Amino acid sequence: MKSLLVPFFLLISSLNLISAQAQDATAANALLLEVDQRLQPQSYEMYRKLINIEPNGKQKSFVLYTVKKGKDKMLALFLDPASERGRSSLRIGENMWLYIPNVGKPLRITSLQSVVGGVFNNSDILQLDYSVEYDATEMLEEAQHYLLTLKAKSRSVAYDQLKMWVDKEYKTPLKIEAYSASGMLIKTLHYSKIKDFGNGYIRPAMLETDSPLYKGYKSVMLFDGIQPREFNDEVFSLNYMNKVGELRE
Amino acid sequence: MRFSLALLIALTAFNSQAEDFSFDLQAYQKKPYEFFGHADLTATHLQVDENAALSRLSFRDQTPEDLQRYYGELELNGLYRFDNSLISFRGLGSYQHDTLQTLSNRTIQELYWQLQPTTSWQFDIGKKAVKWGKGYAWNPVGFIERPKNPDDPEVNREGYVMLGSEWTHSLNGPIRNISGGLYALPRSEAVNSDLTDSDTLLMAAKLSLLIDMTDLDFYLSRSSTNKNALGVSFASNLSSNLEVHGDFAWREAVERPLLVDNVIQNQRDAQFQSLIGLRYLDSREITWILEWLHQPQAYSTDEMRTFYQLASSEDLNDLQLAQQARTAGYGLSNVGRNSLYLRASLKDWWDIVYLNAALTLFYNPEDHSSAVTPEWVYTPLKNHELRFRAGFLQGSRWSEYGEKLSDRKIELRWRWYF
Repeated sequence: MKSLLVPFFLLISSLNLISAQAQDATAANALLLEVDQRLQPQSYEMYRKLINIEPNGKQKSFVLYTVKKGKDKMLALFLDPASERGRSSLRIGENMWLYIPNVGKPLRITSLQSVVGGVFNNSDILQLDYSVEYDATEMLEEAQHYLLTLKAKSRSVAYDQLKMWVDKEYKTPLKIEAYSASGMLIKTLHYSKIKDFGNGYIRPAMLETDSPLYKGYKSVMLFDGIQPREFNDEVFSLNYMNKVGELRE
Repeated sequence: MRFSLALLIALTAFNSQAEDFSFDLQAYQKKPYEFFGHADLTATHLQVDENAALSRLSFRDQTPEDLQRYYGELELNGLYRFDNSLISFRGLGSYQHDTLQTLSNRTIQELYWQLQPTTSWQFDIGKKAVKWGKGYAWNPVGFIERPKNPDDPEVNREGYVMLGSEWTHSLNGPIRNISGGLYALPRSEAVNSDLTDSDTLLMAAKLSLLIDMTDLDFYLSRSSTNKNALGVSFASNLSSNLEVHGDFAWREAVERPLLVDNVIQNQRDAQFQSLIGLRYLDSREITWILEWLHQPQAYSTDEMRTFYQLASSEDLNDLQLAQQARTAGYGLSNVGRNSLYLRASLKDWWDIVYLNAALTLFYNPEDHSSAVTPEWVYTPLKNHELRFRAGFLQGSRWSEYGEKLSDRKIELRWRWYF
């Protein structure tokens, strides 16, 4: 009789474990969704300043105007410096295009290409909501934060796995480590300077990035002017890429 | 000890000051006026191939060993916004000096009024550059645009005077976007005089679809003399680091000057051009662009040899005929039946941020001649760009790149954006 009970209890306990893991993943994905909602509205416009800092302290900055609609439509326009002015990038789901004024027509591009040199690439510039690109597989609760483990939903996502430290009070990310499929750390993102952007959005205004692939280099992204705004779907089309600047008010 | 502490505090204060980044949002709000552009200064040293047909044609018997060329340009762009409209202007002034000639030029490259009553509709009237197709080096479907320079595909081009309208609509099914464009281009002695496919009016239309992961475009043009042209192009991502594209064009009754029995005859045939290409990002972050241009009705190697032999002749009449043929079409780039383009480019070359390196190869598979162009572009200061290029051409006698004027060149360009 004893010999029959042992496998039975093992089966029950393993089922409990699977159920606990499923609950864990459900709670983790719910938290990830809340992180996205706290970071920005579903449809919005915002301005970003991207600063590349070289090991000798020399800086080069870029300013982008970005609009987003729904889960998978995003459009970013370079406003500064003059050498990049008018360049725009469009993302519709996994489709990405680059418009260069001199070329005069949108070119299909790959998500991993660096846009301006330095640590940021296209995927960083046109980052969709985390919950759109990643599944949360694990959540650990620690004293000041939660630690989420995120797995890319498809191979087209730039980073295969993320580890995200989430602030318990504001439910916004504090730090994110991005890993390749082989488990190599590609870059680390540090969010800071919590700011009230209005419309209920209290979120970090600064994102610092460093990468073992760019030793000594650092990139900083400053966020401003984040506000909910509705756009027609036609704004997110190839024909509109040379007119994005007209959306500004 | 006190000094060390003071130094530490000072350093900490300096560091925290350095990390205090600012962002003045007001500076980037939309303004009614915009004014921007660039200025270039370029110096080129060409080593002349004394035995090449095109250097014989340019210099006759006084071929120099080398040639210095100096070039400067100023491009000015202006924009004025009002209501749902804008007026856009692009002007270009250039000056070139070398042993052969001194040229200066001023053109209004674009000047148009654009009305955008909604985000779906756009109307344009004036001189505007419309760019069609998916090719990077060549544009077979560019029915209403001036030819691209494959050696420098990102150079701005002059537009044509036109009346245009564009419409875009988004959908939720497998077709995610659909857009259409209709254009009317008048032609006369004074307006669009180099628009070859028309006598008085050229009508053109474009239909674009985004189907799942594929862009699909259809093009049509019809001139007042009932000459039609049809085109199709596509681009799609096969994976996150591989894109494939293509352009296919058919033109009815294209005039082609042909040297037959020491006479230039204008032959009129239907012409088909196709371009297949891919863009690939490898694990070392090198972007590869490969394109193959196939145009079966273009000059054969034998036809080109006839031209090169004439240009190399000692007979003055032959040289004059070759000069006429060069101007008529034999002297253009990539006029052969098959051309290959391969470009490998890398950002932050040798871990130097803002230094981009590229290597470009043009290859003529018919005569096995080629041109290789290494290139470095560096932006050491904000809005200042330095570009260094070299050129190495090789090929046997009577081959496309073997008969070019120069077989080696180096070029340095400084560009200032404002």
